[in-house]
Amino acid sequence: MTAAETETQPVTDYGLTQRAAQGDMGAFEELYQRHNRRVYSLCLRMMGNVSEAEDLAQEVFIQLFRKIGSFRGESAFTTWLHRLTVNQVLMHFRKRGVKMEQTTEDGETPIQIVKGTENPNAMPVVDRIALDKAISQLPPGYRTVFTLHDIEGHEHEEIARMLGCSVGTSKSQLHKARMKLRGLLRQQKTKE
Amino acid sequence: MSIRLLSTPLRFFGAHTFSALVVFAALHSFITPAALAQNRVSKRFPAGKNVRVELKNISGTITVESWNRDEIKITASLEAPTANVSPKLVGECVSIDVMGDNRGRGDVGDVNFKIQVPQDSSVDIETRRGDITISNIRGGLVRAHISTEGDITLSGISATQVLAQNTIGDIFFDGGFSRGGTYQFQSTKGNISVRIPSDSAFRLVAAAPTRKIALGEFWNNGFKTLGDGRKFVGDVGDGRSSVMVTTFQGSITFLRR
Amino acid sequence: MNCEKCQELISDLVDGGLSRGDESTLSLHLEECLACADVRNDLQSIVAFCRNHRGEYSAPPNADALWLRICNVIEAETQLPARAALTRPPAKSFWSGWTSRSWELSMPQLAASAAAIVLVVSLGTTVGLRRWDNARGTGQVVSSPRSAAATQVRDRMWQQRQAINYWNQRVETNKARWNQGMRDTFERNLRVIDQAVNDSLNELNRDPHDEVSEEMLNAALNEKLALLREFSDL
Repeated sequence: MTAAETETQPVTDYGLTQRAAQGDMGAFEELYQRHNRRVYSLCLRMMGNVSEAEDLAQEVFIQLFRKIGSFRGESAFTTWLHRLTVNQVLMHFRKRGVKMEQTTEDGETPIQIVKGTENPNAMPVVDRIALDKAISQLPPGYRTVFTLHDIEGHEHEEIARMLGCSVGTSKSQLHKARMKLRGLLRQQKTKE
Repeated sequence: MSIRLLSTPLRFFGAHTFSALVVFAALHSFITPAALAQNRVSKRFPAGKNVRVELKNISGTITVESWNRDEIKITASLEAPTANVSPKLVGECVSIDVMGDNRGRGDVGDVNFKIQVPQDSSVDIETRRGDITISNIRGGLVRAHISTEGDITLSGISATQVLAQNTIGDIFFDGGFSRGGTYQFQSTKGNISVRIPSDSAFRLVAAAPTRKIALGEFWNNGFKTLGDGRKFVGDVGDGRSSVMVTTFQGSITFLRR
Repeated sequence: MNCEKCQELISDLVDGGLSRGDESTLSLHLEECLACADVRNDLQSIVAFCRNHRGEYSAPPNADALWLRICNVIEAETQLPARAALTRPPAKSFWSGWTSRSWELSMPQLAASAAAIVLVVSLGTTVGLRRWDNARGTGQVVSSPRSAAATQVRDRMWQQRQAINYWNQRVETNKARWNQGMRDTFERNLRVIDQAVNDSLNELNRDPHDEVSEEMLNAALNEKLALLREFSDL
């Protein structure tokens, strides 16, 4: 393929991974340009902190470079990269001593059961800034499940596989995360 | 009024006490403006097992110590201009984010913290400036990070992951290394001392361009010397934990506990 | 059905995962209980908002600086030769970048810069001599390991400078807000790190293959980046 052809024909992600696996940093940079927002956003939502999200996105792309030769194109590249990113975040949690099961089995934050007309404040209309702020205040276990299910659209079965927990745990974590989030959004409104 | 009031205690406590009271009164009149500028905040949280404490401070001294209660007590003394300090319990983590709570304010006074936690807590402390002292913690993580200057003193620590880093200031670690644990100590301009039991087993990477690396009785012939004595790499015992020590303008000393 | 049981099932209801029987029992309760209906409405808004905004991504604060950091690590790991594919300006821009930048240097920083220039010039001279020697010996110009080492150091300095510039700008905009004590502390510590960078550069000047100095240089530059990043938040 000539240089001119390379410039005019859009190269697939798979094609770029093949070239990057041969040490072509130009191809790897193209992959970075295509996917850095996706990776960073996922890290940001799961970590709830800009600096840590940047550091993790960096680590994800370094891991991607190390493992790129093992991508065989059996699934979409974005799916593969997504899994790599989630694994990296989970590994980071483990390294920092954040145990996912802590918020699932023991010591979980009890849900406040709302009865009667206990809280007169209606929840504000959800907006991106308020939601991101509230997500960042969730405990890591809740934040992970909420991000994977409600934001990224994974099914409970997939989440259970990724986190190594039961489907029931994933469901119950999600419900608790949503309830906690609701409380946080209401609190934000009260503060305003 | 004061003469009448003081004349009564004089009879009971004698002249020395009177002088002391006069000195105290004089001192008090000087201290009062400063004392008024200082606020104190104290908060307690119930703590389960493996609780975690995260603190992001801007400036001030931080002391973390363990106690025999299933609760966390945070005491902060705030100097003017007073910073916003609002400790939060999120899940199993008590978080105090002075940085976040005062973002954009720039000019806030020192906040000096004393934090009491159960022994098996994880402690993650970060500040822009000021000394950090952490003692008697056996949780999963102990992290002390000072962006600029301040000494880090970690004593009685047996966590599986310990990270201590500053720019100017000494780092002192006194504790034990757990199997499979990781321990990192890094200073740009400071002396690093590591005091551990003689039967400790670890893989060491120690680097100091000053060539002031004293491994004492932990030295063995298996150590590889690199860069003409600026870096040592080697195993002590079976190398079951990983230890990295780096100082650019200071010394590294290993001591037996 | 009581409120507790109802609220346990609300998430399933929102996700459409309830059996018909459970759904109708729940609906009856929700018609009567305003508090539980509020919970259902709130969770529905949260979930709907997330679904509607799926696929919207935020960019990292500085994607270019992030890319450079990634390249640094990859290069250190793989020891690849200088990456032609990197989006790096040609030599002319490199030098003009160094010379045209508005430097506000303290004396130690000035000394560090001078040392860097001495290093690059001396490496350039060494590389030139080596190339000339090789060309004389073999009849062709061969890229020597020494030139590769020099290029790597220069590349790394260039990459780090990009990232440092970015964070420096962010720090500069915030600095006026800090108190004098914090400004002094920051400057004092920056000078100490610059001294560490300078020392490593001097060692590399003596021996471009000195791996320990290269590691120390990397660590010191990372330290500087970390300091700038941490103070850019203040």
